[in-house]
Amino acid sequence: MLAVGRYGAAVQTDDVDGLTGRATSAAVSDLVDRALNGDEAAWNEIVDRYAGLVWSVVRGFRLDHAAASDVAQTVWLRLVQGMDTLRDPNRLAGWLATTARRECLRTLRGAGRELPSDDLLDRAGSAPAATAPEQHLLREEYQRELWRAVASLPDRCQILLRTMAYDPDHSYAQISAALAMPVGSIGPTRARCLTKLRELLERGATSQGGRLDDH
Amino acid sequence: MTTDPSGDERLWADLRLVFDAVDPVPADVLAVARGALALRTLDAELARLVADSALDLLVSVRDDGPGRLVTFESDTLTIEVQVSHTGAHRHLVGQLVPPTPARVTVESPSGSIEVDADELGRFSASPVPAGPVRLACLRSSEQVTVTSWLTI
Repeated sequence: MLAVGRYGAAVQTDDVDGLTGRATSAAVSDLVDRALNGDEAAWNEIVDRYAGLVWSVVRGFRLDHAAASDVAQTVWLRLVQGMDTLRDPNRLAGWLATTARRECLRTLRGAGRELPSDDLLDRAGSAPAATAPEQHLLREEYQRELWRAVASLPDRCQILLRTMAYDPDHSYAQISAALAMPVGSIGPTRARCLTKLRELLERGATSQGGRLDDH
Repeated sequence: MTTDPSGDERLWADLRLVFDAVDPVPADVLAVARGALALRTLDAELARLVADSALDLLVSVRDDGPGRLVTFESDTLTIEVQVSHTGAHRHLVGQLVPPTPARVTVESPSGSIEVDADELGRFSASPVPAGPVRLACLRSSEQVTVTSWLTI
């Protein structure tokens, strides 16, 4: 109930926010320019802004934690090497997501594991499942409710919502590159996942006796 | 960008908060990412990854197989490397084309290992810790060629 009330009906939208991009995009190319000149503050800002996106893409693959860390490190090291040849610095998030995805596939296959399917439906699995030990990390009840609901979603939805939450540019094109999903299916999938999430939040609230919303 | 904290904006923020708590970006990833800028090699030529058996769907890489074969290419040098593994350790066996003696440095964010390539351009390095690596090849011409980073 806490979490349900928190998001209201606005959760269930198919707004076009994802298509409009953000004012941050102009600043990205500026940060890249400054980083190319050795500006550490600019570089650190790039890392802070996109580290969550890279990690969310990597965690969508069936890699253990150590291998996932290795891959994420490689992505950042490679960005430094390739930054001067980025065709469009404003699409940095897309480049990072695509590089992360490819490096995950290389690592999965190079490690001699079973070949993963490119299908998002099949390749999920490392998205952390809702278990009691993780819930203590969440201080507020609405956070625990949200986590339980997210963790009950199909893997596909968990990966999509997580990646979108960490894409500061909210670009469907970048999400498409990250998840190898057609751009056209991102909006509808996102809407379906949000609807499902909202249903789970409502169901969770009901099953817990319909407490009063204290917000 | 909306300043209304309700609805979607609040949900995205809460999702980040929850994932940050439950499965945060590891500290070692952030440390390597922040330190990466200092590892730029401005005067070396870059040998790009042009082939990787790990991405070849027709080749099934298995523990008992010959390992993963990767090829890096620059304008002046091709570096072929076979990567095999035992547990957390990796073994590299490489060949420079055209064959030439060189000092090969296997670099990782945590340190580096130097080995020599013989007159036939052959080199090997073992054990190399798992994780991101790149090779820097210094030939007698004093030219340095650095490969793309790769997770091994």
